[in-house]
Amino acid sequence: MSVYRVVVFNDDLNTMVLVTDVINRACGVPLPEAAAMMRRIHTEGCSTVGLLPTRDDAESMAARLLGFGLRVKVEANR
Amino acid sequence: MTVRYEFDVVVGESQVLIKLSEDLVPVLRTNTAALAASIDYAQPKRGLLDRRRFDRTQRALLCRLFPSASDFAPLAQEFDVRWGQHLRTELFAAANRVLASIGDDGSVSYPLDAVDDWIRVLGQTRMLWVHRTITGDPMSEDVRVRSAGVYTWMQQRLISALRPELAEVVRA
Repeated sequence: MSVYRVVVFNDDLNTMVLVTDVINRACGVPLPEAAAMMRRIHTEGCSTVGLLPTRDDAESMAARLLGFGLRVKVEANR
Repeated sequence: MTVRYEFDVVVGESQVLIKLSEDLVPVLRTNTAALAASIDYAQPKRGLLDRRRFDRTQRALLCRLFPSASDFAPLAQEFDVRWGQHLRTELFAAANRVLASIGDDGSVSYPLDAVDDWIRVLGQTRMLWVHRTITGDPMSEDVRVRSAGVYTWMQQRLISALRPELAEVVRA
């Protein structure tokens, strides 16, 4: 069961192309789904990009996203 | 004003070739070095006042570079203990590799499998000037916004050359 989620938040600095590229490669999300997540981030302010079984896995993904300059949070999936 | 910078990218089998206009060379070198210096904990400190000023500036920059990964302060602190040094070291090393790759004539040859260094450094260098709530604009009168805009433009050129299919997927 996935107990931690990784959420990416919208910002005004990063482009749609970068956000899609990073979600695709850093989270292993297929490209069409990565683009859909990017659109959700853009229109709704945030999107869950990963549901992971351990906090360590979630933090590892968050660190990869932070490394590319995205704004990200790790949350318990209640 | 007119922006006359050039940033041309050719993607080969194992190398990425970037050609910068000559006026971009000192800009990139200076700002990449500033980014590296700002995250370098080991750099020699001078007097107490300088150190305090530097530490405050550095803390603010680090908050912009790597915003908190949790709204709950203890978890955010634990994340920083586990990942903060790794993130800072990684960006510092990438900035130095990017810096070393910039030729005097504006030519860059970079391994394709390491080109994320450039994507990260171009994106994170903008944090020297702006917050994430500001959209960079290469035509802006405000030098900070203009600088951020030029870096966004270069990053976009690079990603588009590396993955031309992204533009269509994003438009769909």
